[in-house]
Amino acid sequence: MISNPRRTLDRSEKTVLWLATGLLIVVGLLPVLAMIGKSFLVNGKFSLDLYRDFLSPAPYRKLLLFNSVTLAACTATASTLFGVPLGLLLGKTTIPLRGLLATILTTPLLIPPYILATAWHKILGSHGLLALWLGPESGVLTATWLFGLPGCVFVLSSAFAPIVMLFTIVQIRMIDPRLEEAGRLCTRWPATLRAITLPLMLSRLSLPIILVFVLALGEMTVPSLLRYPVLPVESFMQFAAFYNFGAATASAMPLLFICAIILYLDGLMVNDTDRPIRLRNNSVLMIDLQVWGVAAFIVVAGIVVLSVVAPFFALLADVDSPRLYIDAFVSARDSIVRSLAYATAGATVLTLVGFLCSYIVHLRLSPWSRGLDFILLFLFSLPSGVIAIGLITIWNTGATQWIYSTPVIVLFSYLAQYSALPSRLSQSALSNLPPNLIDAAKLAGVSWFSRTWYILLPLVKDALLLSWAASFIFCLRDVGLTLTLHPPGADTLPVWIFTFMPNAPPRLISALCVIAVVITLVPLGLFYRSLRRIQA
Amino acid sequence: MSRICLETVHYTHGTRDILRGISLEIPHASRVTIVGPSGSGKTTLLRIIAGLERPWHGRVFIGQRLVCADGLNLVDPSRRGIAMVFQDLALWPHFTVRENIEFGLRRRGLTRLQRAVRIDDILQRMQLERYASVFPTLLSGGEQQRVAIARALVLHPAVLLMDEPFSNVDKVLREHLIRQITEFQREYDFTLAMVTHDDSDAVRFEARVIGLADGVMIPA
Amino acid sequence: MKKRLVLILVVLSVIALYWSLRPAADFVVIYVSHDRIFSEPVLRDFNTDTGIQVRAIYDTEETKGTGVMNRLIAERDHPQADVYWANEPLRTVVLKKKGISAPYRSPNAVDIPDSFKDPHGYWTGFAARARVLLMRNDLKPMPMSIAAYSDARLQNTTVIANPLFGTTTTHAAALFVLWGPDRFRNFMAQVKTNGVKIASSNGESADLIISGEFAFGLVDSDDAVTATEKNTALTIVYPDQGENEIGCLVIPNAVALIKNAPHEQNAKKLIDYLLNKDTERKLAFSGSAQMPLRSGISTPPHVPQINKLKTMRVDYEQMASAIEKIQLLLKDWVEH
Repeated sequence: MISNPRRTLDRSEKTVLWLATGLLIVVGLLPVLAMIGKSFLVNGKFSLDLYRDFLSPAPYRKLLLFNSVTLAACTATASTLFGVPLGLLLGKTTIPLRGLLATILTTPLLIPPYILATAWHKILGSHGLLALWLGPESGVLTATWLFGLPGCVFVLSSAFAPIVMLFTIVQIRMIDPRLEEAGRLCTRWPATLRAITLPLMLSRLSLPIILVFVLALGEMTVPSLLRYPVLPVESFMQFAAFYNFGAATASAMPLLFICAIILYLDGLMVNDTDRPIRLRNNSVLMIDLQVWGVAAFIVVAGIVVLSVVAPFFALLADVDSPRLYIDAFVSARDSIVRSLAYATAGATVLTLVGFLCSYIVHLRLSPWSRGLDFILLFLFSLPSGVIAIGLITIWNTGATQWIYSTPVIVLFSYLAQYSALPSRLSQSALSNLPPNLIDAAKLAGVSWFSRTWYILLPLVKDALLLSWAASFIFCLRDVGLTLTLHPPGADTLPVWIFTFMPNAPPRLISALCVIAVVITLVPLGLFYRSLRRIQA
Repeated sequence: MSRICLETVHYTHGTRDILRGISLEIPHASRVTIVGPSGSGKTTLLRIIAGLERPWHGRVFIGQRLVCADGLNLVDPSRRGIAMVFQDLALWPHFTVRENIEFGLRRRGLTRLQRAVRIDDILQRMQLERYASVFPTLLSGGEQQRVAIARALVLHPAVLLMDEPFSNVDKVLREHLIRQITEFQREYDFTLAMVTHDDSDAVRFEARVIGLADGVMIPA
Repeated sequence: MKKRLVLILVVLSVIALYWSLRPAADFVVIYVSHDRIFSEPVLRDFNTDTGIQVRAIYDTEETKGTGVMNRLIAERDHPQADVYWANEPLRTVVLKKKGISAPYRSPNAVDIPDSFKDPHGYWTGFAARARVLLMRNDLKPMPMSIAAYSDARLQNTTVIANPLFGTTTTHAAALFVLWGPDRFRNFMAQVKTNGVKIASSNGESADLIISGEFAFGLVDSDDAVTATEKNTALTIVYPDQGENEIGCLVIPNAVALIKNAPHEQNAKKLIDYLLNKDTERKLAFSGSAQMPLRSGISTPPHVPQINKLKTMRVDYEQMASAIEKIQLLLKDWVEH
């Protein structure tokens, strides 16, 4: 087995892994610990006062916690119910134009969810497009539905279901076709899918489902836009109404327990016996849909229209003159360049550190490597305000101005909050590797760097590229961290839009949203193209 | 009757011709070993018989049934009465040994009792009783091989295809397995086609030898 | 090709980092809580007029103007900002109390009334919003006072922004100071009993009135002006203008110099610029429709001259202390 707590380590291996862990602790954990420390201080003295509410919560606080968990659970369920079948259809069947459909379905993931919520408001609001077509009564009906739990779940699921879909497609590639062929000799496709394919994928799907759950749990912009009270709002209120950093941190602590529960459940799902073994090449055993292909295409195309085309149409319909795009572009030009620069740098650093963390967690290099996994997930779920203020507390000193007053602090914040993402993606790839591949090189006396560079990295290349793309997306669409930490005069496009939105002409905002989508799609498209070329 | 008959079967992968007009008849309840160098198309031939690949041209019969003609699979792989032992075994890692063996049987409409009798019998014959509730990833190479063969034999197939079935086992076990398989064949009368690179397997099986090189049949 | 891709990523990252560390020109750093769409043009004009580059951090309505406040507080020991432009004086009072701002009396502020300035020069007000009633034209009886919130005839038709945030907090604090604790508590209890809807922001309150879901609400004058542009069936009323009434609450912007500001001289130039009459005029004609605090500055028709209004007499220092007292009360009011 590759996971071995008593594995021997080279000196270089040890150094690099300790450096990565150290960086993460200093950049991510220390600021949060500083904030947690503050939460135990009231007027400079140790006190549990701020946790009193937390230990015996008021009914309203209970409601917020309940709402948060309900929203996260419903979003994760809906994303799974749509994401897995879509992933199967697009990754495993001969449905026409599957590449195109998968690409289009991924786009909502690329943009900040509040833009999606804004677009849906333009359609389903009481004076939205639907009310325009079907009359004001239907507008009132759809607005009632949009503002509240169903609307939040709908918007967030359409933004996050692509995560589950993409993972399903990736996991399908991980399953050895022989395992399914052995099943196909006994039974037809539906039973093979049910008994072989899905169970083999299931434990791996816990990752995207957890990601969706945690993302929905920490999401504040959509619930606040669609008026659904959730827990992050509470933490936010402590910042906003009372400037009480300690109380804000204390109110985020229930998330610590939720994360612990999730990780425990995740640990139950994954074990060594159900590891899909990649025996041969990357081929996928495709299901020939024959005549059903057209019907499946119509269903998927319907979902595409509903979840992607409609909101983008709403945004595009709002922009009545091409001149608006030029105006929007010119005014936000600098922010656009900065967005791309921050996201590129952020994604590169995240991929590197995430990979090293996954190495530690996956190989169980120390007794607390599981703890590292927990820390990463906890940081991922924390409200961005807690991390941001923590980073200011730690890094705004005379000696560290080269960090704090430059975009390096933004990179630090990305590292602190998003490392779980590349780490989990790399872990998923590492667990599919036959262990002997690395051990063989080790026995041959190859150094750790060479082993990693020539054997490990090429083998997990796809996962690393996926990590980079995912990190790029998350850095590019980040609002919370960048809003609080960007150096003066050096904001990003999402922050620009977010700060510009109140009282700005809606048409201009729509144009900016369209630009935000385009600047995410274009680099990813180029990245994908060069990727294809490399693979070819 | 489970003779296997291939008529001018042609299979191309990309620009490479893997099989070039293979015609072959394997009589009912006979034994055939297919030998040849790597890349000669041996495995592809077995996969075409099983219905896991579709040839570009040619026809395939199992018994009297035309199962594949000119690029179309007329009979689904699961309806051909074929069992196969894969070269890499393809044991389902999320099923225990018993579940691996039972999975195919569940689709045959047998009662729970009938299934249990068959599984216990095969486990005992393959000396696998101890491992019934163990996951295959925890077994040694030889044990996994026995599970793969047991999973195929338990179905009492009309045709048994084996792709390098003894590549992982020592001499003693190899003798034992060959004995078991021939015994089963005598009992259940199936047709056996086996790919191997070891000529001695053919001798031990007392099987007819078919040579394959560069996609065409050659005299063995 | 693989190496080239890695190389491209590394080069891009290095460029991004170098670019961020490039040498600085003559500049000033300002944190702004006023809406970006209205404040940015003013700062751009400052840059054009003086040649001093403005590096700004803006806040949003979504964060209730507290993103930069939290940042200012967290940065206290090593301030990055030179100037803070607040959308209401209470924030600058908090900064003063926490020792984050420094006194500066701008020569351009001499004609601004003393009630809109800190007596020690820690902040100076300019260009104000008013707290107004936004309502449907056909509403009967037409509310002329904030007391209408407790009028049983208007039960379940009123909306107010969450008083834990923004200018609604300020308004609550002003009433608390003016009325005293008992009357304030009674009034709030009556409002709640009368079935008021709590919206997340003044913008949302206005939206709910525009859409006809609620009949009237207390909002900021800039939100009200935008709302009447969207829906002509709405009216703005400046409340409590009667002889014995309390008057309408006016909330000016406020500007403060940050203690140990890294660019103090530029900071003072920017503060002077913000406090000149031309800035007030520009803000009156902008979409934010803000009232100049000085007379003799031209305004568009929908922006009244402040001397024509009866304004509430308030002391911002007292209000800031009051906020600390009413926080828990308001939280309780919202949550139960």
